[in-house]
Amino acid sequence: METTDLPGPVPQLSRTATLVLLAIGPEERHGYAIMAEVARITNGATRLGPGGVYTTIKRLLDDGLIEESDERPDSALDDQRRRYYRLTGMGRAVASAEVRRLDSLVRAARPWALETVG
Amino acid sequence: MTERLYRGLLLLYPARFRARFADDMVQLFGDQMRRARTEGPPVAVAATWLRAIADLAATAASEHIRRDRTVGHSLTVSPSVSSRVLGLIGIVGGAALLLPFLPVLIPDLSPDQFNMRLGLFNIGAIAIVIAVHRRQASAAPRLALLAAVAAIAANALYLVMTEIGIGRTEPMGAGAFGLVYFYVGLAMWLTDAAFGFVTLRLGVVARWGAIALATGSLLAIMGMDRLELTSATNPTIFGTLALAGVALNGIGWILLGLDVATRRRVVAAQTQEVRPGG
Repeated sequence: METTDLPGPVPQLSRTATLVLLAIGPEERHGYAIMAEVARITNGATRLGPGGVYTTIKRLLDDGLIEESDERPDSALDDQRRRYYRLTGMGRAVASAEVRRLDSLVRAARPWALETVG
Repeated sequence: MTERLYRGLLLLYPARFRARFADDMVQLFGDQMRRARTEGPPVAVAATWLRAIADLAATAASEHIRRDRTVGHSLTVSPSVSSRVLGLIGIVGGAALLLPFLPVLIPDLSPDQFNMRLGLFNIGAIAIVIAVHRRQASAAPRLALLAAVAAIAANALYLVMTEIGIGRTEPMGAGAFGLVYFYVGLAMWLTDAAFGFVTLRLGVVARWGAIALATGSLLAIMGMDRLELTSATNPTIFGTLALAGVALNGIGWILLGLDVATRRRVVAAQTQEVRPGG
């Protein structure tokens, strides 16, 4: 997979766009798999519907952060009509930047936030 | 039957979105329903329907609202400092042009004050042309550059003429100076109008600002002395139209200034370098 250098400060994505990018990750996924992965990585806290999934996919496609994959899995394994999506170099760079930003926030808050909850 | 009903509900989305994603959405909804029937509790089917309707209502509305926006809605950054400064200068310039329309706030201007106000207007116009050009240059490089250079040159020339006119005892329109001043003024209005039309066509910045600039500039030509369509002693409808045009021109620069100073920029298209690996 290719990584793209971003020209300047990385803009903050919407929460749903971030989740969809992270759900796709290094894989190639179709809409239902993305929806299931979003539910999995958020421990079921976020359950996107078809509208939420595909309006976000459209935006990410238009932004150049994801692209449709030409490859199709074995027809025995999956429906050939499904469209699969993967991250572009720019999408991977933006996702990485967002993860670093969230990681920095978590590290800053961990010393006191977890104690408070505990 | 269930999927057909869901497909019918997708009519709530914009046609272009439907053409692109309706089949995938129906398939995804079908997957959800099959899973609800086979793996979920008895109420799972009803719950899936309710969630789908809520999802559809929320996302169809938002898709209608943002369907005309440029791509990169989720990937934008604030305007640069230079864009904000140029936009602000343009807003001040446009406001300077509108000052005489507020006689309650601004008393009658002397000829020199009048010329200084026009100078401010020209500087504002040049600032906006530069800021707007930076945004729309990539959409149509030659057309955008031609319109910008012509408008900047004409406004700069008009600025020089009005500043030379400060302190002159003769009226600005008198003699050979007046003739040159007329043609430079005509060039300014025409190039402002052309810039407005090009900006409207490229659609990168505020549509209403471009429309006001283009129509206002053309209407303002009717008030030029040497065309003799109207005068202080013999006012006609052309005088009223010309005043409205000047006001529209000022409003146009202000709207464009607000746009370049406040509208967030898309950065996704600015990919510079791709490196393998990672």
